[in-house]
Amino acid sequence: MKFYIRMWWLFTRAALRTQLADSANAVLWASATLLGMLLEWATLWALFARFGSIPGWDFASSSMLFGLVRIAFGIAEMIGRGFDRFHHVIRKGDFDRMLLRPIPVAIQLSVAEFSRFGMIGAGAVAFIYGCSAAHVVFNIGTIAYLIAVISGGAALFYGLLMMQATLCFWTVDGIEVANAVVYGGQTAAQLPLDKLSRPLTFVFTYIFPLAIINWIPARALLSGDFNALALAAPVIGWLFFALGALVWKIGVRAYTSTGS
Amino acid sequence: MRLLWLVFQMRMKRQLAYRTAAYAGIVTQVVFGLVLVAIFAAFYANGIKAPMTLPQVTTYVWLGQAFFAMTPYSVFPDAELREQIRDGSVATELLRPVDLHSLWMARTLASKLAPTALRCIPVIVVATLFAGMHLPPDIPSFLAWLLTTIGALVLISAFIVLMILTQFWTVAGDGLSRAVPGIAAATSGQLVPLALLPENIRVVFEWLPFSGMVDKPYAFWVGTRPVSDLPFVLGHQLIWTFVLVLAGRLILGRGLRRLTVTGG
Repeated sequence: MKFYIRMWWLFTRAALRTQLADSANAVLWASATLLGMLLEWATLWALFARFGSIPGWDFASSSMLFGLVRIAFGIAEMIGRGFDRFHHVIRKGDFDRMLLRPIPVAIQLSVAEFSRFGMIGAGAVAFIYGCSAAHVVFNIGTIAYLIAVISGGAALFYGLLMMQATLCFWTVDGIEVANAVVYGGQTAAQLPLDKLSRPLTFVFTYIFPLAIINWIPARALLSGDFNALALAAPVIGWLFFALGALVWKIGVRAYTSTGS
Repeated sequence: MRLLWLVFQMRMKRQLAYRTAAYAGIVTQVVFGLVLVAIFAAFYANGIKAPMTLPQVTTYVWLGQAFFAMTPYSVFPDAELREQIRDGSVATELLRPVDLHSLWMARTLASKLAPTALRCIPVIVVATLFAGMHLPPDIPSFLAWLLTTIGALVLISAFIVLMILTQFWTVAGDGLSRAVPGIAAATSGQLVPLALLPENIRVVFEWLPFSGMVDKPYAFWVGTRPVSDLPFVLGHQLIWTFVLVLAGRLILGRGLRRLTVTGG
């Protein structure tokens, strides 16, 4: 285990150094992402400004949802970009080379990417604004809960990224199906679950449980009522991660190279 | 010109080969559309009067999904070219006896048009039959939409080529070109129809090039923009296309002068 962590750190350090070597690019990307995300958040504000709040849900609580999902996805993407662009690896035959190295491929693919800070930063801004505008009380308990929720959310997205990458073993391309839940889900997550139509609610509760790791914790933070489901939410995120890891393992085992 | 036409055709052919990607894309777009429509429906349930009716917004959302592959927001235009600039094989492009900017324009046009052509009709059919999308109010509106959509396609391609060209400066290659689409999405109307934004913000966004890529053409289909606005919209698209092409050519010229191809 220690060896793996050291290996991961070596990979990540090397990657960060290349990214920082071209620091203009990294900073540009991070700040432009930040700006883009804040603009997206602003359009949400514009909608609330025009239409007023939806029963039981206003701009502050919606900002919490918006922020929470971006922080979680940003973290997952930061260490999971390798899975996200896995189809390039497969198509070019680089995967064979990865298999030759005496380190699990999952570690090689988990190399961190600095540039996702923009998304995480924008998420944090929206979330903190939302919490303060909604007068969420923070103490050690809620902060610990929040950390667990964020880790669960990141685990959930990470699990999905692994599943999406596994698909590439068979389809080589056409991984856009996962985008439906990744990006559609992020947009959906800005809205309380009960405002979506039944099929969508079903998808985001039982198939890709984004609502459980986003809406339910936010509601718990807002109301101060931490019921069993709210406490179980982070665990569900991690369970989804475990499922993703399992699927990935099966995929790697089933992989047959096309190269000579 | 004949050569560019050939390049365009080749690209189209190649893009049309990725059928599975298109089917997957249709599923994505339908899910996304349903989510967005649900969000707007929740807001409209308040009964506040807005410059657009809910059926109009619904139609607008579905247009956005049907033509998503065309918008500058949709992922990365030409991953291949990015790799080429990064690994230096762009040098072979330089050997070709064609004007580079036009060559890339032709390629980009095709790589935007092909996936859009594959996806737009199924999404429109599904959304019209099952999800509350409406057809244009009359034939002139439809024609105005069609013309401005062609204008939008050219404008978007000019923008994308410009984004690609910024990579001559940022070697890792994604900086601007991956992040600006987010800004484009917000200001183009892709996220929220510009008509629903506060007046002073809307006015600014209307002038930016991005509204010509999404909001302006859609407004003709939805019927929130009179057909008499057609010359103004086409003019807006043309001027911005001209500016972006000019900027692209300038950057290309300077980029080539200082480009050192790495590799043996």
